[in-house]
Amino acid sequence: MRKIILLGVLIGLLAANPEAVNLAVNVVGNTFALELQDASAFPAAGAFDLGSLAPGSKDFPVTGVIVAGCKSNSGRQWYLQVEQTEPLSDPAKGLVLPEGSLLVRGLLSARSPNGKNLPGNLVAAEQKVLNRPGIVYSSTARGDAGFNNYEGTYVPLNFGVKIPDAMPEGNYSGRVLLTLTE
Amino acid sequence: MKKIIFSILLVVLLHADLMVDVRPKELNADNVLRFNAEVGSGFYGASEGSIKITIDRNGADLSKKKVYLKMDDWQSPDGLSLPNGNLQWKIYHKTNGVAISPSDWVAYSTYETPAFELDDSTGHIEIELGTMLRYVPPVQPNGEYRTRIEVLVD
Repeated sequence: MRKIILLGVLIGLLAANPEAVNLAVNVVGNTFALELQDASAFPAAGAFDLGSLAPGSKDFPVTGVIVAGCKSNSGRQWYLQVEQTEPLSDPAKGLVLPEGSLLVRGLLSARSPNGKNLPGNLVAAEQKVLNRPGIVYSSTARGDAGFNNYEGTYVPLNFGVKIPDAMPEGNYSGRVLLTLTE
Repeated sequence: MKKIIFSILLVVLLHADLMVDVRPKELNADNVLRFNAEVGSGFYGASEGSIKITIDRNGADLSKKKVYLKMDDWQSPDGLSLPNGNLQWKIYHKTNGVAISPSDWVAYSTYETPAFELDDSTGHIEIELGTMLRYVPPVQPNGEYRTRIEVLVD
């Protein structure tokens, strides 16, 4: 009798349905990259025009929008920095705008109201772009892991300029460097 | 005596049950299907990603023809996940006994989904499923992500 019951239990166990298998994938490889786009999400041309301003005025034109696509899979906190590597100058006239004339702010837009849809800290207040790096966005402590379906964090930045009152007329151009760093 | 007859009947009835076995094609110590995938890329169907399903039916259970597949949500020790829908299966090899099956890659679902259909024949059925992880996003942190694939015949 015991044997029969044991046989029954054994067959019952063998007949388990459903059955399952565990699967483990080891994700490998490193990503640490910065891609610049314009306001329309096209690759940035490498130059933007802040338009024409009168002395004593300040503007953040839409043509000064750059979106920094920050991609890191390290799982550690990273920073997006901006610095001015060449001052705004008119070489033909020998004129140079003072350091701090170029400005940047985290863009406030319908897609990014107060930058709140980004998981990290976007500096939405305007700040001067100096000849040393300044942080415009800090990721979460885990590098924004999981945000945007793991496709990266796209940080909208708006560059502007403030022209000193007594600045002579000229065609000023300079260079800005954006850096992704841990 | 009645108890013995009842028990024999019970065993006979249990015999009518189907037997399903699911395991990695390449057996390993902990019986887990393992493979590597590069960020910005994926994993395409090599042998270490294959699953072997064995089904034995007889008696009343020949009426159970549908084979369902279901996967759990991905999990990592850090509480991260991989996108669902990127893990896919395809029949690489099958013995007689499978009546209807897709020929192309099909995404695993977190819902119980009919995958293929068996015919009326008795006997031992073996099915080998290939695995493709279509795309691992570029910003996916390194580490081991786990899921569980369930096979149900009904």
